[in-house]
Amino acid sequence: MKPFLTYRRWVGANLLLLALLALAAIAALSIGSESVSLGDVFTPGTRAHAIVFESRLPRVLLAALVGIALASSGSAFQALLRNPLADPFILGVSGGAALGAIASVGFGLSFAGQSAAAFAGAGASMLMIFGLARARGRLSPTTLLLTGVIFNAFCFALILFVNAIVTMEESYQILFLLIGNLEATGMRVVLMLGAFVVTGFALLCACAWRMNLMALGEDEAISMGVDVSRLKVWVFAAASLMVGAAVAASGLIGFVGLFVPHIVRLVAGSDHRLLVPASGLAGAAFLIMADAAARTILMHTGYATELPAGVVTALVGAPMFLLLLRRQQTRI
Amino acid sequence: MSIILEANDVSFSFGALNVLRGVSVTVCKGTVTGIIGPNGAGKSTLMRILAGTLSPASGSVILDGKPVARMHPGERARHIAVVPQETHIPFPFTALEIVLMGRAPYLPAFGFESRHDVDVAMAALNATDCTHLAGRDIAELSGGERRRVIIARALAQETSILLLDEPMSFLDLRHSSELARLLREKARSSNLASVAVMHDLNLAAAFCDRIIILKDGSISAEGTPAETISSGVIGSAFNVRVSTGRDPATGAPYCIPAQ
Repeated sequence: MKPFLTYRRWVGANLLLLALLALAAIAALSIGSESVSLGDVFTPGTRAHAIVFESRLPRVLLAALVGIALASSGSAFQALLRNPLADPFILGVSGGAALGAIASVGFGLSFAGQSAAAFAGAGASMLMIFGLARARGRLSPTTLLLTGVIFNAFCFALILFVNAIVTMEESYQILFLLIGNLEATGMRVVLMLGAFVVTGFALLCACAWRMNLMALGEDEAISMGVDVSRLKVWVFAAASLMVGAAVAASGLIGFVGLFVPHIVRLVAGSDHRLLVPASGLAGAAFLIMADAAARTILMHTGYATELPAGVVTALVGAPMFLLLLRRQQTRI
Repeated sequence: MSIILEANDVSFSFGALNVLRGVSVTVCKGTVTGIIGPNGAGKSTLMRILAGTLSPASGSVILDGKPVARMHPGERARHIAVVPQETHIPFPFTALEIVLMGRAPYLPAFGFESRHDVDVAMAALNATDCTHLAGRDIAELSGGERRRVIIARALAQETSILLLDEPMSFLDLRHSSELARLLREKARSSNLASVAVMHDLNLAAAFCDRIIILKDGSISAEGTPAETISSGVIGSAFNVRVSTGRDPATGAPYCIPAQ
């Protein structure tokens, strides 16, 4: 018989994922266009020390935080919308956040200002999606996906509008946000993003057991003691906070919130008390590896360039989404 | 017999459509109440109002002297368990995980189920003949099997009131009569009050203490099976001709559609 979740399994699974995350981080710190020796890395003043601690470390930390934000909010959206195809990117929440962040580029705001604008954008798109979900009882997968597609198209039109009226330099910054890039923007941004992500992630983990009951249906969750409207507000706020800050820092990185929870569910089961934290940790490990691959994949080909991480996640994620969609259609 | 749940003069409408018009229901401890009536009579709406998940436009629902509308959902969940008409579960939970969710009202914040919770869940699975399904993915079960797991989940909630909306749909003859027998048995052994929307009038006649007939949003008749399962009452509620008789072994009334 499949085991159910116990305290011991919860701790064991999370420790295992933390170890995996540490391994991914060490691997990502040690590979790159320049090879570094272990001795030099820990000697301050050397080039290797500077490369690892000033260039690669912020980037690895950024990837980890963005991975946590996208994957854990993906698992939370799936629970609340009762749909395994939900993801911040597909739903248009990331698109709303990007619009906010990009509009604030137009106004010349700092990272904090961009985060606030992205948070507002994420919040507005989420309000719309949950508003539709409320009006219709249960959103069908088709309605959900169409809403996301339409909303994304709308956001992109506005983004291109902003792009048309800003300077060349700002336009480059906008492109950077659209592609989804983890090029380190410095330790200050990483620390601020860290504060947003840790808060949001802790909130989602605290709501996780209620998400289980939502799987049975909204009325059922209420009859089992969940204050559903309050749950929605909390999850809503936590996810907007994380997705907003992640998009402001790294732009549009797609599909992480879709397939990471799905793979974790296959391995660790559907219980959200484990699924939410485990998706966060696995998402962090995945995005660190995806970014390391993006940095190095073109290294020996003669192209003197790096791929943005968003390219790698989309290349892995888009086929995965189609597979999931097919599976869901055969099941419903 | 003491009253545990009562609805006083509740009304509800969806837009211009009056679904319930001044319905009053009393449910006593240790009884089985059947709610029958034609499609669209307001049965499910009444169940949602009794469960406290839907607020009536007017009137009130009182649980053990307290209005359910003002109870905290967590407290209410320790008194009333609900088996909905349909359950769609979008994620591959195992049957045991689903039944363990019934223990949620008793778990401490951030807690996991104790040995006792698992024992209660296994006993509930056993009561609905689902022990062998415990480790199976809920999405892979048949409609009837899934129904029985959902009923086990409600039993695991260990409440004094159980509200079931068409619990027998999808169940075969054996499992639906076993469920009815289980409700009777729980009424006697643990004073459980259950209210079930039923379509099988004969099953309702054989196992319910009281039957309430709902038609067009109001109660058209109520009473014991002997008082309600008669050709006159059933015929006018459902607009059909039926012939009735009595089970020679138990004396319970039955009815069949007339030619």
